[in-house]
Amino acid sequence: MISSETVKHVAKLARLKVSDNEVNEYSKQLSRVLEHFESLKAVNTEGVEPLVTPNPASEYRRVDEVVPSKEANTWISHSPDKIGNLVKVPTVVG
Amino acid sequence: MATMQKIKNHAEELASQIRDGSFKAVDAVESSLDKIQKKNSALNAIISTLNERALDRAQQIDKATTRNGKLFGVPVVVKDNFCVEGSQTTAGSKILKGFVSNYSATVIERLEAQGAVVIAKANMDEFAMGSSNENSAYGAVKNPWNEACVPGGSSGGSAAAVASEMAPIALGTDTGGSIRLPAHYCGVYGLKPTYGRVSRYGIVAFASSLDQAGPMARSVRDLSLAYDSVAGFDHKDSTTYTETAVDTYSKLTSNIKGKRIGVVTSHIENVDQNNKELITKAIDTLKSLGATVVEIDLPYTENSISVYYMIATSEASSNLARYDGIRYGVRAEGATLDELYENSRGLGFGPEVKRRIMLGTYALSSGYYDAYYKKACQVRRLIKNGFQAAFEKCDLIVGPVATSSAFKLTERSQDPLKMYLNDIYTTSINLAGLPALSAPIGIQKDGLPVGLHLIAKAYDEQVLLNVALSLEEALPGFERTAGVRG
Repeated sequence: MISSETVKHVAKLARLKVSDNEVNEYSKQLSRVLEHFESLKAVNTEGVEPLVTPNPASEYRRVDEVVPSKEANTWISHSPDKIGNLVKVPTVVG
Repeated sequence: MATMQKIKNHAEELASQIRDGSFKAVDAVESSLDKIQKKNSALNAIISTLNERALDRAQQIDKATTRNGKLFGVPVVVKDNFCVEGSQTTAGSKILKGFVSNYSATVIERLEAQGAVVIAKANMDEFAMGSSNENSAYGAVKNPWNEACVPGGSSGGSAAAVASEMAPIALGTDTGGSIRLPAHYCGVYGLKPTYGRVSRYGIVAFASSLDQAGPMARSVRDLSLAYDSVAGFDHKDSTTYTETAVDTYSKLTSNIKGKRIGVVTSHIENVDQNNKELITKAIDTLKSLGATVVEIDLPYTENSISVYYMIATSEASSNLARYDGIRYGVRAEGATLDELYENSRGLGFGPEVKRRIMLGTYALSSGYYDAYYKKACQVRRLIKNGFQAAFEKCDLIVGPVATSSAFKLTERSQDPLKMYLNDIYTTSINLAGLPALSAPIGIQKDGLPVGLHLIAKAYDEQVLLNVALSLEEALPGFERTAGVRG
Protein backbone atom coordinates (compact mmCIF):
# COMPACT_ATOMS: atom_id res chain seq x y z
CA MET A 1 0.00 0.00 0.00
CA ILE A 2 1.31 3.42 -0.96
CA SER A 3 0.50 5.82 1.88
CA SER A 4 -0.70 9.41 1.45
CA GLU A 5 2.64 10.59 2.84
CA THR A 6 4.53 8.66 0.18
CA VAL A 7 2.28 10.08 -2.54
CA LYS A 8 2.93 13.61 -1.26
CA HIS A 9 6.67 12.95 -1.10
CA VAL A 10 6.76 11.59 -4.67
CA ALA A 11 4.65 14.52 -5.90
CA LYS A 12 7.21 16.85 -4.35
CA LEU A 13 10.04 15.01 -6.12
CA ALA A 14 8.13 15.22 -9.40
CA ARG A 15 7.33 18.93 -8.88
CA LEU A 16 3.63 18.24 -9.22
CA LYS A 17 0.97 20.06 -7.26
CA VAL A 18 -1.66 17.53 -6.24
CA SER A 19 -4.95 18.13 -4.43
CA ASP A 20 -6.08 16.10 -1.40
CA ASN A 21 -8.49 14.25 -3.67
CA GLU A 22 -5.68 13.36 -6.04
CA VAL A 23 -3.52 12.15 -3.14
CA ASN A 24 -6.27 9.71 -2.11
CA GLU A 25 -6.89 8.60 -5.67
CA TYR A 26 -3.20 8.07 -6.50
CA SER A 27 -2.62 6.26 -3.25
CA LYS A 28 -5.26 3.68 -4.22
CA GLN A 29 -4.47 3.45 -7.93
CA LEU A 30 -0.69 3.29 -7.59
CA SER A 31 -1.01 0.63 -4.90
CA ARG A 32 -3.04 -1.54 -7.27
CA VAL A 33 -0.60 -1.06 -10.12
CA LEU A 34 2.40 -1.80 -7.90
CA GLU A 35 0.70 -4.93 -6.58
CA HIS A 36 0.60 -6.14 -10.16
CA PHE A 37 4.33 -5.48 -10.45
CA GLU A 38 4.95 -7.83 -7.54
CA SER A 39 4.56 -10.71 -10.01
CA LEU A 40 7.98 -9.77 -11.41
CA LYS A 41 9.58 -10.94 -8.18
CA ALA A 42 8.87 -14.51 -9.22
CA VAL A 43 11.08 -14.13 -12.31
CA ASN A 44 14.63 -15.30 -11.73
CA THR A 45 16.93 -12.54 -12.97
CA GLU A 46 20.09 -13.55 -11.19
CA GLY A 47 23.08 -12.56 -13.30
CA VAL A 48 20.90 -11.02 -16.03
CA GLU A 49 22.37 -7.80 -17.41
CA PRO A 50 19.69 -5.05 -17.47
CA LEU A 51 18.61 -4.06 -21.00
CA VAL A 52 18.12 -0.30 -21.19
CA THR A 53 17.82 0.17 -24.95
CA PRO A 54 16.66 -2.52 -27.37
CA ASN A 55 19.00 -2.27 -30.35
CA PRO A 56 22.61 -1.13 -30.34
CA ALA A 57 22.92 2.52 -31.31
CA SER A 58 24.89 3.37 -34.43
CA GLU A 59 28.56 4.18 -33.98
CA TYR A 60 27.95 7.46 -35.69
CA ARG A 61 29.56 10.53 -34.21
CA ARG A 62 28.97 13.74 -36.10
CA VAL A 63 31.89 15.92 -37.10
CA ASP A 64 32.48 18.73 -34.64
CA GLU A 65 31.93 21.69 -36.89
CA VAL A 66 29.88 24.86 -36.75
CA VAL A 67 26.63 24.67 -38.70
CA PRO A 68 23.92 27.32 -38.98
CA SER A 69 21.06 27.03 -36.50
CA LYS A 70 17.98 29.03 -35.61
CA GLU A 71 18.33 32.44 -34.03
CA ALA A 72 18.08 32.48 -30.23
CA ASN A 73 14.90 34.57 -30.30
CA THR A 74 13.00 31.87 -32.21
CA TRP A 75 13.55 29.54 -29.25
CA ILE A 76 12.94 32.18 -26.59
CA SER A 77 9.70 33.14 -28.34
CA HIS A 78 8.09 29.96 -26.94
CA SER A 79 8.47 31.15 -23.37
CA PRO A 80 5.27 32.31 -21.67
CA ASP A 81 7.10 35.19 -19.93
CA LYS A 82 10.12 36.95 -21.40
CA ILE A 83 11.87 40.27 -21.87
CA GLY A 84 13.74 40.53 -25.14
CA ASN A 85 15.92 37.45 -25.39
CA LEU A 86 15.67 36.68 -21.69
CA VAL A 87 13.25 34.33 -19.94
CA LYS A 88 11.60 35.78 -16.85
CA VAL A 89 11.51 33.64 -13.66
CA PRO A 90 10.75 34.33 -10.01
CA THR A 91 13.63 35.45 -7.79
CA VAL A 92 15.97 32.50 -7.27
CA VAL A 93 18.57 34.06 -4.98
CA GLY A 94 16.95 36.28 -2.40
CA MET B 1 -10.36 27.35 -59.42
CA ALA B 2 -10.36 23.69 -58.62
CA THR B 3 -13.59 21.82 -58.48
CA MET B 4 -14.26 19.40 -55.66
CA GLN B 5 -13.52 15.91 -56.83
CA LYS B 6 -13.59 12.76 -54.84
CA ILE B 7 -10.12 12.11 -53.50
CA LYS B 8 -8.51 8.98 -54.89
CA ASN B 9 -8.81 6.07 -52.54
CA HIS B 10 -5.12 5.26 -52.28
CA ALA B 11 -1.90 7.26 -52.12
CA GLU B 12 -0.17 5.10 -54.74
CA GLU B 13 -2.78 5.87 -57.41
CA LEU B 14 -3.18 9.51 -56.35
CA ALA B 15 0.58 10.24 -56.42
CA SER B 16 0.87 8.65 -59.84
CA GLN B 17 -1.96 10.80 -61.25
CA ILE B 18 -0.57 13.99 -59.71
CA ARG B 19 2.90 13.18 -61.09
CA ASP B 20 1.57 12.82 -64.62
CA GLY B 21 -0.63 15.90 -64.26
CA SER B 22 -4.00 14.15 -64.65
CA PHE B 23 -5.01 15.13 -61.10
CA LYS B 24 -4.13 18.25 -59.15
CA ALA B 25 -2.51 18.31 -55.71
CA VAL B 26 -4.66 21.34 -54.86
CA ASP B 27 -7.82 19.31 -55.56
CA ALA B 28 -6.56 16.45 -53.46
CA VAL B 29 -5.75 18.74 -50.55
CA GLU B 30 -9.02 20.68 -50.79
CA SER B 31 -11.00 17.47 -50.94
CA SER B 32 -9.21 16.17 -47.85
CA LEU B 33 -9.72 19.40 -45.93
CA ASP B 34 -13.37 19.34 -46.93
CA LYS B 35 -13.77 15.83 -45.57
CA ILE B 36 -12.19 16.86 -42.30
CA GLN B 37 -14.61 19.76 -42.04
CA LYS B 38 -17.58 17.47 -42.69
CA LYS B 39 -16.59 14.55 -40.50
CA ASN B 40 -14.56 15.96 -37.66
CA SER B 41 -17.44 17.23 -35.54
CA ALA B 42 -18.57 13.62 -35.16
CA LEU B 43 -15.16 11.95 -34.86
CA ASN B 44 -12.93 14.59 -33.19
CA ALA B 45 -9.95 13.00 -34.95
CA ILE B 46 -8.23 16.30 -35.77
CA ILE B 47 -6.89 18.95 -33.38
CA SER B 48 -5.84 21.51 -36.00
CA THR B 49 -5.75 21.86 -39.79
CA LEU B 50 -2.92 23.46 -41.74
CA ASN B 51 -5.07 24.91 -44.55
CA GLU B 52 -2.87 27.77 -45.69
CA ARG B 53 0.43 25.90 -45.44
CA ALA B 54 -1.05 22.83 -47.15
CA LEU B 55 -2.63 24.75 -50.03
CA ASP B 56 0.58 26.72 -50.60
CA ARG B 57 2.55 23.51 -50.83
CA ALA B 58 -0.03 21.88 -53.09
CA GLN B 59 0.17 24.84 -55.48
CA GLN B 60 3.97 24.55 -55.59
CA ILE B 61 3.64 20.83 -56.32
CA ASP B 62 1.21 21.47 -59.17
CA LYS B 63 3.68 23.95 -60.68
CA ALA B 64 6.83 21.86 -60.10
CA THR B 65 8.92 20.89 -63.11
CA THR B 66 10.55 17.92 -61.37
CA ARG B 67 7.66 15.57 -60.79
CA ASN B 68 8.95 12.71 -58.75
CA GLY B 69 8.30 11.75 -55.15
CA LYS B 70 6.79 8.64 -53.66
CA LEU B 71 3.91 10.64 -52.19
CA PHE B 72 3.73 13.42 -54.75
CA GLY B 73 0.81 15.67 -53.77
CA VAL B 74 -0.65 13.17 -51.32
CA PRO B 75 -2.46 14.68 -48.29
CA VAL B 76 -1.14 13.27 -45.03
CA VAL B 77 -2.41 13.63 -41.46
CA VAL B 78 0.19 13.51 -38.68
CA LYS B 79 -0.29 12.87 -34.99
CA ASP B 80 -0.03 16.06 -32.97
CA ASN B 81 3.27 15.03 -31.40
CA PHE B 82 5.24 15.66 -34.62
CA CYS B 83 6.67 19.16 -34.87
CA VAL B 84 5.72 20.88 -38.14
CA GLU B 85 7.43 24.22 -38.61
CA GLY B 86 5.11 27.16 -38.07
CA SER B 87 2.21 25.16 -36.67
CA GLN B 88 0.85 24.27 -33.27
CA THR B 89 2.02 21.03 -31.63
CA THR B 90 0.06 20.10 -28.51
CA ALA B 91 0.82 16.38 -27.96
CA GLY B 92 -2.81 16.24 -26.82
CA SER B 93 -1.90 18.24 -23.72
CA LYS B 94 -3.13 21.50 -22.25
CA ILE B 95 0.43 22.20 -21.12
CA LEU B 96 1.53 22.73 -24.75
CA LYS B 97 -1.55 24.64 -25.89
CA GLY B 98 -0.44 27.39 -28.25
CA PHE B 99 3.09 26.02 -28.69
CA VAL B 100 4.18 26.73 -32.27
CA SER B 101 7.22 24.78 -33.38
CA ASN B 102 10.03 26.66 -35.11
CA TYR B 103 11.31 23.56 -36.89
CA SER B 104 10.01 20.32 -38.43
CA ALA B 105 10.65 16.76 -37.30
CA THR B 106 12.99 14.78 -39.58
CA VAL B 107 10.10 12.53 -40.66
CA ILE B 108 8.04 15.58 -41.66
CA GLU B 109 10.95 16.90 -43.76
CA ARG B 110 11.25 13.47 -45.39
CA LEU B 111 7.53 13.21 -46.13
CA GLU B 112 7.63 16.66 -47.69
CA ALA B 113 10.76 15.77 -49.68
CA GLN B 114 8.65 13.01 -51.27
CA GLY B 115 5.95 15.52 -52.15
CA ALA B 116 3.51 14.71 -49.34
CA VAL B 117 1.36 17.56 -48.04
CA VAL B 118 0.71 17.67 -44.29
CA ILE B 119 -2.90 18.81 -43.96
CA ALA B 120 -3.73 18.30 -40.30
CA LYS B 121 -2.53 17.36 -36.83
CA ALA B 122 -4.36 14.39 -35.34
CA ASN B 123 -5.85 14.05 -31.89
CA MET B 124 -4.08 11.67 -29.49
CA ASP B 125 -3.89 10.59 -25.89
CA GLU B 126 -2.01 13.23 -23.90
CA PHE B 127 1.73 12.67 -24.47
CA ALA B 128 0.77 9.39 -26.17
CA MET B 129 -0.21 7.90 -22.81
CA GLY B 130 -3.26 5.76 -23.40
CA SER B 131 -4.77 2.86 -25.29
CA SER B 132 -8.22 4.29 -26.02
CA ASN B 133 -7.67 7.96 -26.95
CA GLU B 134 -9.81 9.04 -24.02
CA ASN B 135 -6.89 10.85 -22.33
CA SER B 136 -6.68 13.80 -24.72
CA ALA B 137 -7.07 17.33 -23.35
CA TYR B 138 -8.98 17.96 -26.61
CA GLY B 139 -11.63 15.32 -25.96
CA ALA B 140 -11.98 11.65 -26.88
CA VAL B 141 -11.79 10.50 -30.51
CA LYS B 142 -14.69 8.35 -31.80
CA ASN B 143 -14.33 5.17 -33.81
CA PRO B 144 -15.51 5.78 -37.41
CA TRP B 145 -17.06 2.29 -37.55
CA ASN B 146 -19.14 2.91 -34.43
CA GLU B 147 -19.08 6.26 -32.71
CA ALA B 148 -20.00 4.74 -29.35
CA CYS B 149 -16.64 2.94 -29.38
CA VAL B 150 -13.06 4.04 -28.81
CA PRO B 151 -10.72 4.23 -31.80
CA GLY B 152 -7.84 2.87 -29.73
CA GLY B 153 -4.85 4.88 -28.65
CA SER B 154 -2.71 6.65 -28.51
CA SER B 155 -2.66 7.37 -32.27
CA GLY B 156 -6.47 7.23 -32.35
CA GLY B 157 -6.91 10.43 -34.35
CA SER B 158 -4.50 9.21 -37.03
CA ALA B 159 -6.31 5.86 -37.34
CA ALA B 160 -9.76 7.44 -37.40
CA ALA B 161 -8.60 9.94 -40.06
CA VAL B 162 -7.36 7.16 -42.34
CA ALA B 163 -10.37 4.90 -41.68
CA SER B 164 -12.83 7.71 -42.48
CA GLU B 165 -10.88 8.66 -45.63
CA MET B 166 -9.86 12.14 -44.45
CA ALA B 167 -6.48 11.20 -45.94
CA PRO B 168 -4.98 8.03 -47.42
CA ILE B 169 -2.01 8.09 -45.04
CA ALA B 170 -1.33 9.18 -41.48
CA LEU B 171 1.67 9.07 -39.19
CA GLY B 172 1.47 7.84 -35.64
CA THR B 173 3.88 6.85 -32.90
CA ASP B 174 4.02 3.57 -31.02
CA THR B 175 5.54 3.26 -27.54
CA GLY B 176 3.60 0.21 -26.34
CA GLY B 177 1.03 -0.40 -29.09
CA SER B 178 -0.10 3.11 -30.01
CA ILE B 179 -0.06 2.50 -33.77
CA ARG B 180 -1.15 -1.14 -33.77
CA LEU B 181 -4.07 -0.90 -31.30
CA PRO B 182 -5.86 1.93 -33.15
CA ALA B 183 -5.09 0.25 -36.51
CA HIS B 184 -6.77 -2.93 -35.17
CA TYR B 185 -9.79 -1.04 -33.76
CA CYS B 186 -10.25 1.14 -36.86
CA GLY B 187 -9.62 -1.46 -39.59
CA VAL B 188 -6.51 0.11 -41.13
CA TYR B 189 -2.92 -1.01 -41.60
CA GLY B 190 -0.44 0.22 -39.02
CA LEU B 191 3.31 -0.40 -38.96
CA LYS B 192 5.51 0.03 -35.93
CA PRO B 193 9.04 -0.16 -37.38
CA THR B 194 12.09 -1.61 -35.66
CA TYR B 195 13.44 0.66 -32.93
CA GLY B 196 16.00 2.82 -34.73
CA ARG B 197 14.46 2.61 -38.21
CA VAL B 198 12.76 5.98 -38.02
CA SER B 199 14.23 9.16 -36.59
CA ARG B 200 12.71 10.46 -33.39
CA TYR B 201 14.06 13.99 -33.94
CA GLY B 202 11.29 16.54 -33.58
CA ILE B 203 8.77 14.12 -32.06
CA VAL B 204 7.52 14.91 -28.55
CA ALA B 205 9.25 12.28 -26.40
CA PHE B 206 7.33 9.89 -24.14
CA ALA B 207 9.66 6.94 -23.40
CA SER B 208 12.82 7.26 -25.45
CA SER B 209 13.94 3.60 -25.48
CA LEU B 210 10.48 2.53 -26.73
CA ASP B 211 9.13 5.35 -28.93
CA GLN B 212 9.02 4.75 -32.66
CA ALA B 213 7.09 6.57 -35.40
CA GLY B 214 5.33 4.74 -38.21
CA PRO B 215 2.66 4.96 -40.90
CA MET B 216 -1.02 4.02 -41.09
CA ALA B 217 -2.82 3.43 -44.39
CA ARG B 218 -5.70 1.59 -46.07
CA SER B 219 -3.51 -0.63 -48.24
CA VAL B 220 -0.20 -2.44 -47.80
CA ARG B 221 1.29 -0.71 -50.83
CA ASP B 222 0.48 2.72 -49.35
CA LEU B 223 1.88 1.62 -46.02
CA SER B 224 5.11 0.55 -47.71
CA LEU B 225 5.41 3.84 -49.64
CA ALA B 226 4.91 5.88 -46.49
CA TYR B 227 7.35 3.75 -44.52
CA ASP B 228 10.04 4.01 -47.21
CA SER B 229 9.54 7.78 -47.25
CA VAL B 230 10.27 8.30 -43.56
CA ALA B 231 12.71 5.49 -42.64
CA GLY B 232 16.49 5.69 -42.60
CA PHE B 233 19.51 7.00 -40.76
CA ASP B 234 19.37 10.51 -39.31
CA HIS B 235 22.43 12.20 -37.89
CA LYS B 236 20.12 14.05 -35.49
CA ASP B 237 19.08 10.78 -33.77
CA SER B 238 22.02 8.61 -32.73
CA THR B 239 19.72 5.61 -32.13
CA THR B 240 18.85 5.39 -35.84
CA TYR B 241 20.10 2.39 -37.77
CA THR B 242 22.87 3.06 -40.28
CA GLU B 243 20.97 2.06 -43.43
CA THR B 244 20.11 5.27 -45.26
CA ALA B 245 17.78 4.35 -48.11
CA VAL B 246 15.00 1.95 -47.21
CA ASP B 247 13.10 0.41 -50.10
CA THR B 248 10.41 -2.13 -49.25
CA TYR B 249 8.07 -1.03 -52.05
CA SER B 250 10.06 -2.37 -55.00
CA LYS B 251 10.54 -5.68 -53.15
CA LEU B 252 6.87 -6.20 -52.24
CA THR B 253 5.65 -9.69 -53.08
CA SER B 254 2.63 -11.68 -52.01
CA ASN B 255 4.50 -14.93 -52.60
CA ILE B 256 4.98 -16.30 -49.09
CA LYS B 257 5.66 -19.95 -49.99
CA GLY B 258 7.89 -21.59 -47.44
CA LYS B 259 7.63 -18.82 -44.84
CA ARG B 260 7.59 -20.25 -41.34
CA ILE B 261 4.93 -18.60 -39.21
CA GLY B 262 5.19 -18.83 -35.44
CA VAL B 263 2.01 -19.02 -33.40
CA VAL B 264 1.43 -19.07 -29.64
CA THR B 265 -1.84 -21.00 -29.49
CA SER B 266 -2.66 -19.87 -25.95
CA HIS B 267 -2.61 -16.22 -27.06
CA ILE B 268 -5.22 -16.92 -29.72
CA GLU B 269 -7.28 -19.02 -27.29
CA ASN B 270 -7.37 -16.06 -24.90
CA VAL B 271 -9.12 -13.59 -27.15
CA ASP B 272 -12.76 -12.86 -27.75
CA GLN B 273 -14.56 -15.49 -29.87
CA ASN B 274 -15.20 -13.16 -32.85
CA ASN B 275 -11.54 -12.21 -33.02
CA LYS B 276 -10.46 -15.79 -32.61
CA GLU B 277 -12.52 -16.96 -35.59
CA LEU B 278 -11.07 -14.30 -37.89
CA ILE B 279 -7.49 -14.84 -36.68
CA THR B 280 -7.82 -18.59 -37.20
CA LYS B 281 -9.22 -17.99 -40.69
CA ALA B 282 -6.31 -15.67 -41.54
CA ILE B 283 -3.79 -18.28 -40.36
CA ASP B 284 -5.55 -20.93 -42.47
CA THR B 285 -5.30 -18.56 -45.44
CA LEU B 286 -1.56 -18.18 -44.88
CA LYS B 287 -1.23 -21.98 -44.82
CA SER B 288 -3.17 -22.27 -48.06
CA LEU B 289 -0.71 -19.79 -49.61
CA GLY B 290 2.19 -22.09 -48.81
CA ALA B 291 3.35 -20.91 -45.40
CA THR B 292 4.00 -23.40 -42.64
CA VAL B 293 2.81 -22.83 -39.11
CA VAL B 294 5.00 -23.70 -36.13
CA GLU B 295 4.06 -23.57 -32.47
CA ILE B 296 6.35 -21.32 -30.48
CA ASP B 297 6.64 -20.18 -26.88
CA LEU B 298 7.02 -16.62 -25.64
CA PRO B 299 7.59 -17.28 -21.96
CA TYR B 300 7.51 -13.76 -20.52
CA THR B 301 4.42 -12.34 -22.24
CA GLU B 302 2.56 -12.26 -18.91
CA ASN B 303 5.29 -10.09 -17.39
CA SER B 304 5.53 -7.64 -20.26
CA ILE B 305 2.83 -5.28 -18.95
CA SER B 306 4.60 -4.82 -15.61
CA VAL B 307 7.99 -4.40 -17.26
CA TYR B 308 6.60 -1.99 -19.82
CA TYR B 309 4.74 0.26 -17.41
CA MET B 310 7.73 0.41 -15.08
CA ILE B 311 10.19 1.36 -17.84
CA ALA B 312 7.82 3.63 -19.80
CA THR B 313 6.76 5.62 -16.74
CA SER B 314 10.34 5.91 -15.50
CA GLU B 315 11.50 7.30 -18.83
CA ALA B 316 8.41 9.53 -19.05
CA SER B 317 8.99 11.03 -15.60
CA SER B 318 12.41 12.11 -16.82
CA ASN B 319 11.33 13.22 -20.33
CA LEU B 320 8.41 15.27 -19.05
CA ALA B 321 10.57 17.18 -16.56
CA ARG B 322 11.10 19.73 -19.36
CA TYR B 323 7.50 20.97 -19.03
CA ASP B 324 8.21 23.37 -16.23
CA GLY B 325 6.37 26.52 -17.29
CA ILE B 326 9.64 28.32 -18.02
CA ARG B 327 10.63 27.80 -21.64
CA TYR B 328 7.35 26.89 -23.26
CA GLY B 329 3.75 25.99 -22.62
CA VAL B 330 1.46 26.96 -19.81
CA ARG B 331 2.79 28.91 -16.84
CA ALA B 332 0.98 29.28 -13.52
CA GLU B 333 1.91 31.82 -10.88
CA GLY B 334 4.23 30.90 -8.03
CA ALA B 335 6.10 32.92 -5.42
CA THR B 336 9.19 30.72 -5.76
CA LEU B 337 10.63 28.81 -8.69
CA ASP B 338 9.57 25.48 -7.16
CA GLU B 339 6.03 26.73 -6.64
CA LEU B 340 5.92 27.92 -10.23
CA TYR B 341 7.03 24.46 -11.45
CA GLU B 342 4.54 22.64 -9.23
CA ASN B 343 1.61 24.87 -10.07
CA SER B 344 2.33 24.91 -13.82
CA ARG B 345 2.67 21.14 -13.99
CA GLY B 346 -0.32 20.59 -11.71
CA LEU B 347 -2.42 22.81 -13.97
CA GLY B 348 -1.10 21.69 -17.37
CA PHE B 349 -0.95 17.89 -17.11
CA GLY B 350 -4.03 15.68 -17.20
CA PRO B 351 -4.78 12.87 -14.72
CA GLU B 352 -3.21 9.96 -16.64
CA VAL B 353 0.01 11.87 -17.31
CA LYS B 354 0.26 12.84 -13.64
CA ARG B 355 -0.38 9.24 -12.61
CA ARG B 356 2.42 8.00 -14.87
CA ILE B 357 4.86 10.70 -13.77
CA MET B 358 4.12 9.72 -10.16
CA LEU B 359 4.65 6.03 -10.88
CA GLY B 360 7.90 6.65 -12.74
CA THR B 361 9.22 9.04 -10.09
CA TYR B 362 8.41 6.47 -7.41
CA ALA B 363 10.18 3.70 -9.35
CA LEU B 364 13.32 5.79 -9.77
CA SER B 365 13.34 7.21 -6.25
CA SER B 366 15.95 6.35 -3.68
CA GLY B 367 15.51 2.86 -2.23
CA TYR B 368 13.18 1.57 -4.97
CA TYR B 369 15.38 1.78 -8.06
CA ASP B 370 16.79 -1.77 -7.85
CA ALA B 371 13.47 -3.37 -6.95
CA TYR B 372 11.54 -1.74 -9.77
CA TYR B 373 13.47 -0.11 -12.62
CA LYS B 374 16.50 -2.39 -12.60
CA LYS B 375 14.39 -5.51 -12.14
CA ALA B 376 12.19 -4.44 -15.06
CA CYS B 377 15.25 -3.91 -17.28
CA GLN B 378 16.51 -7.40 -16.42
CA VAL B 379 13.18 -9.00 -17.35
CA ARG B 380 13.25 -6.82 -20.48
CA ARG B 381 16.39 -8.67 -21.57
CA LEU B 382 14.69 -12.03 -20.92
CA ILE B 383 11.75 -10.90 -23.08
CA LYS B 384 14.13 -9.96 -25.90
CA ASN B 385 15.99 -13.29 -25.54
CA GLY B 386 12.62 -15.08 -25.71
CA PHE B 387 11.90 -13.50 -29.09
CA GLN B 388 15.37 -14.34 -30.34
CA ALA B 389 14.84 -18.00 -29.43
CA ALA B 390 11.43 -17.99 -31.13
CA PHE B 391 12.88 -16.51 -34.33
CA GLU B 392 15.23 -19.47 -34.66
CA LYS B 393 12.12 -21.51 -35.44
CA CYS B 394 10.15 -19.04 -37.57
CA ASP B 395 10.38 -16.05 -39.92
CA LEU B 396 7.56 -14.13 -38.31
CA ILE B 397 5.02 -14.46 -35.52
CA VAL B 398 1.29 -13.86 -35.90
CA GLY B 399 -1.35 -13.45 -33.20
CA PRO B 400 -3.86 -11.05 -31.69
CA VAL B 401 -3.26 -7.30 -31.34
CA ALA B 402 -5.55 -7.07 -28.31
CA THR B 403 -7.96 -9.34 -26.49
CA SER B 404 -11.02 -7.89 -28.25
CA SER B 405 -12.18 -5.36 -30.84
CA ALA B 406 -12.93 -1.74 -30.00
CA PHE B 407 -14.66 -1.35 -26.66
CA LYS B 408 -17.24 1.25 -25.62
CA LEU B 409 -16.17 4.76 -24.65
CA THR B 410 -15.75 5.19 -20.84
CA GLU B 411 -16.07 1.41 -20.34
CA ARG B 412 -12.53 1.08 -18.98
CA SER B 413 -11.43 4.65 -18.34
CA GLN B 414 -12.07 4.55 -14.59
CA ASP B 415 -9.75 1.61 -14.02
CA PRO B 416 -6.13 2.35 -15.01
CA LEU B 417 -4.90 -1.21 -14.37
CA LYS B 418 -7.62 -2.73 -16.53
CA MET B 419 -6.71 -0.29 -19.30
CA TYR B 420 -2.99 -1.17 -18.97
CA LEU B 421 -3.75 -4.90 -19.23
CA ASN B 422 -5.25 -4.20 -22.64
CA ASP B 423 -1.70 -3.79 -23.96
CA ILE B 424 -0.60 -7.36 -23.18
CA TYR B 425 0.25 -8.36 -26.76
CA THR B 426 1.74 -5.09 -27.97
CA THR B 427 4.14 -3.86 -25.26
CA SER B 428 6.66 -6.72 -25.46
CA ILE B 429 7.41 -5.74 -29.10
CA ASN B 430 8.58 -2.27 -28.02
CA LEU B 431 10.55 -3.72 -25.12
CA ALA B 432 12.41 -5.95 -27.59
CA GLY B 433 12.66 -3.20 -30.24
CA LEU B 434 11.06 -5.37 -32.95
CA PRO B 435 8.98 -4.35 -35.99
CA ALA B 436 5.28 -5.26 -35.97
CA LEU B 437 2.26 -4.62 -38.11
CA SER B 438 -1.48 -4.68 -37.57
CA ALA B 439 -3.32 -5.86 -40.70
CA PRO B 440 -7.13 -5.72 -41.01
CA ILE B 441 -8.43 -9.24 -41.62
CA GLY B 442 -12.19 -8.87 -41.40
CA ILE B 443 -15.27 -7.40 -39.80
CA GLN B 444 -17.01 -9.15 -36.95
CA LYS B 445 -20.77 -9.61 -36.72
CA ASP B 446 -21.25 -6.38 -34.78
CA GLY B 447 -19.58 -4.41 -37.58
CA LEU B 448 -16.25 -3.76 -35.88
CA PRO B 449 -12.97 -4.55 -37.65
CA VAL B 450 -10.35 -7.02 -36.46
CA GLY B 451 -6.61 -6.83 -37.04
CA LEU B 452 -3.91 -9.49 -37.11
CA HIS B 453 -0.64 -8.79 -35.31
CA LEU B 454 2.47 -9.68 -37.35
CA ILE B 455 5.88 -9.53 -35.65
CA ALA B 456 9.31 -9.95 -37.26
CA LYS B 457 13.00 -9.93 -36.43
CA ALA B 458 14.69 -6.56 -36.05
CA TYR B 459 14.99 -4.71 -39.40
CA ASP B 460 12.81 -7.22 -41.29
CA GLU B 461 9.85 -4.93 -42.04
CA GLN B 462 9.82 -6.47 -45.53
CA VAL B 463 8.47 -9.84 -44.39
CA LEU B 464 5.67 -8.10 -42.45
CA LEU B 465 4.63 -6.10 -45.51
CA ASN B 466 4.84 -9.14 -47.81
CA VAL B 467 2.73 -11.35 -45.57
CA ALA B 468 0.22 -8.52 -45.03
CA LEU B 469 0.05 -8.09 -48.82
CA SER B 470 -0.61 -11.80 -49.31
CA LEU B 471 -3.54 -11.56 -46.87
CA GLU B 472 -4.84 -8.39 -48.47
CA GLU B 473 -4.98 -10.14 -51.83
CA ALA B 474 -6.27 -13.46 -50.56
CA LEU B 475 -8.94 -12.60 -48.01
CA PRO B 476 -12.21 -12.46 -49.91
CA GLY B 477 -15.09 -10.04 -49.70
CA PHE B 478 -13.69 -7.69 -47.10
CA GLU B 479 -14.17 -3.98 -47.65
CA ARG B 480 -10.99 -2.54 -46.23
CA THR B 481 -11.90 1.11 -46.26
CA ALA B 482 -14.05 2.24 -43.40
CA GLY B 483 -15.61 4.63 -45.85
CA VAL B 484 -18.87 3.34 -44.49
CA ARG B 485 -19.74 6.88 -43.59
CA GLY B 486 -19.40 8.15 -47.13
